[in-house]
Amino acid sequence: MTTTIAVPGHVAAIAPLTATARAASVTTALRSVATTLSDISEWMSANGAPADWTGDASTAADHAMTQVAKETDGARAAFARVAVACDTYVDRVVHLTGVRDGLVGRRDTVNDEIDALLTKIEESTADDIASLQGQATALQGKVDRLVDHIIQLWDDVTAAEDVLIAAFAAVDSTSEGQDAAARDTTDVRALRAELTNLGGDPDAINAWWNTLSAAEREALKISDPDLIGNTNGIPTGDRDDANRTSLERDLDDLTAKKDAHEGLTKEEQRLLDRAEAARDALNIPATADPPDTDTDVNLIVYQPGAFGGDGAVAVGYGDPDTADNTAVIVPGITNDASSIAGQGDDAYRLHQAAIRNGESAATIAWMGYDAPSWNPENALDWPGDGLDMGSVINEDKAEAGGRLLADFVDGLRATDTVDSATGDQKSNLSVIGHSYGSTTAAHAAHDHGLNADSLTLIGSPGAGGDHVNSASDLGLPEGKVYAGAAENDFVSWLGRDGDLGMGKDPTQADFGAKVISVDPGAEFHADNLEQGITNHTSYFEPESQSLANLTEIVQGEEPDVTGGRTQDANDMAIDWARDEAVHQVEKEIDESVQEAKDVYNGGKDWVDDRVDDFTGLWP
Amino acid sequence: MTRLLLAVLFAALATACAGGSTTDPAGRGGGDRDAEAFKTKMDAFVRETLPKLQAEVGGEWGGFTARFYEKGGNTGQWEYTAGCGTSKPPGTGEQVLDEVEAVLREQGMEITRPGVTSDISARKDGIMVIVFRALESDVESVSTLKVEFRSEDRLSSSDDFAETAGNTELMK
Repeated sequence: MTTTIAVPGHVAAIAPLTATARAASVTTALRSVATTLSDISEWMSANGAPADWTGDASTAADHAMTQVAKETDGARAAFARVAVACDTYVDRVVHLTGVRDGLVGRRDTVNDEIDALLTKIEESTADDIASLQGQATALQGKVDRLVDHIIQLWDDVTAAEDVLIAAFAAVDSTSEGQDAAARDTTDVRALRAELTNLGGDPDAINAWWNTLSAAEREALKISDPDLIGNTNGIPTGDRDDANRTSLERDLDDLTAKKDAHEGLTKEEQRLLDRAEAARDALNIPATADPPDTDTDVNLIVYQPGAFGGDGAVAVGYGDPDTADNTAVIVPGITNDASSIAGQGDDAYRLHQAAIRNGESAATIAWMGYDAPSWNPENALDWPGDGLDMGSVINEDKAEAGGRLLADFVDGLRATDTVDSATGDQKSNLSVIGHSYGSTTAAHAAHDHGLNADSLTLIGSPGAGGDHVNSASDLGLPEGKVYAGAAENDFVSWLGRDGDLGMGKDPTQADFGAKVISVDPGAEFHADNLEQGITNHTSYFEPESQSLANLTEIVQGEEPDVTGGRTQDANDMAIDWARDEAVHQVEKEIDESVQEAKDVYNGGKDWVDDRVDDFTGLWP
Repeated sequence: MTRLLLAVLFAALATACAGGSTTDPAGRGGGDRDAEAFKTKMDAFVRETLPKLQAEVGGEWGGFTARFYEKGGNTGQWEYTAGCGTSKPPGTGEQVLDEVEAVLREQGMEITRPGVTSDISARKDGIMVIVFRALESDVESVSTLKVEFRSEDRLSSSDDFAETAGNTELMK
């Protein structure tokens, strides 16, 4: 007798979503155009005909400009509407992508179960039939539910697309754009004034921002992207939206000018360099192929013209508002906004290491202060870049940067969300200062009460000023000041008190920081200072002890700790200079001896040759 | 004394950064340190090695984008790096890593399994390959395996080659 057991067929593969979070770049482009139109409209409204025009010409010009302003504002309103719709669509796509991923996992599982049931049936006996039929029925139910959910997914995708298409269609003519502008009652000037009146208090700003409607937020991002993108207390995602708008504006304007061979001024070229560096830093995860779309990259600071043209940029890998662990990396000498891609590479490497434990992380390359910097080709440009670099011998920039860093971290604390559904706490927030950035971070801690959970000073020339005598003076939680230095990192030999020093060496045993293990770096000599630079800039290298320890710190774990230095940092520098003098003298002697040998051997060869010649003459 | 030494060190730092020497320090990878020469070498190595990795390891691989980064600020020291990943390669975590190790060993690379910030580290002629599972908990299966080829030593580029090279799509 034959018994039939109805086993469901395999569930077909679920097609990939053609729309991805990359669609966010469309939103940025739309918002950027809206910003340009907003600027034009505002300028046209504020500026009538030139003051010295009179009569009919003046009246006609005023009329024409008013008309252009009105039409431009209509276009601005149209772009603003579709930017909001596109933003909503991207959020929906991100959500549906997660839903699809879940369905793909369920499909894999149910197909495996079908295969397992078929195997069981092949090996079964008559006694198993009832049980197998029950399992097949249960499996069919699972398959049916899964297929229903897959159908629902595609319905939701279609619905999201329809909403977006409708939003575009609603403002695809001049009159519809002007209607949208007429209905737009957002008073951007009043909102701007409200924000300004909050006096930079990040908690108050965050609370105020959360009271705004989506349309009001969008209007501010379009009218004032530079303000919204760089105000501490505005949520990271909104800062990113605004700053990307500014970035796109700069790239478009300056690249178009360059491509038109109009010639960029030196200032414009510097601006373009910094804009391109910011773009490169943002693209680091995307240049992996297939792209790393899991990492939410945020442009948290974008002020390419700040600090006399050095620029300020901060790029975050991961969202600090939602991450379990957040790290702010403060770079040091030779850095400015043009080097943000290299800083981003380090931050992204730390991010990739920090999320391996399954927790979420955000690592931020924060070039938000004016570090002593210069470009090598301009090293002799005095008082230009040369003067900027000269400022490394005092703490002025570290003191000023300390305030900016503390304010930035306060902003991160204000926007950090507590997930009431899961009970997740706010981020474990670490600040990592490298080189002169460690002095800056120490000033942020001592002078401005840096609101971090831990502070790590690596490759430090000094822990900031005459008032910091030990780790406890930095005001961090007990046991949460870490320090590390490569033995052959010459910058770490500079820690000292006094007019010229930048504070104590934080890796000294008696300073009281937990000193993490760091690879020593290769010995170097005066004629190979590149190795010295390598030693100073290798704390984020893959496979380095320092990267492993920094990862532990970012994850809130305890790193591998060693005893601190017992030799004074300056004595290490003096020892190096003394050994170097001996080395150079010995090298000179060796070279002189070799030259003498060469002369002797050359002369001997000549004499031998002549002897051979004469011997040849008289055999 | 310290004041003088500090001034000398920073002056020397400026000189070193501006100099762009192409010397190879003793005892390190042994590869070219000129950015353009190294890029040529590593690009060829990736083009030879990656297809073998793709064939042996499986999963959903993409292309491979390489680029230069200036390290530590405007120091004149560069690294050349290219990263990608494969999603859901068949096998357990250990099997996948063993397959990767076998391919890299066949290419003459020296292999270590550091297991801290990565799973495999391989070196040959100044080229370094870092391999890691995106999640340490990927033991029974691997969600994403990341592979990075990079320069082991810092590179120099006195002719702006590294700065202007842009991205290179190695497998397209």
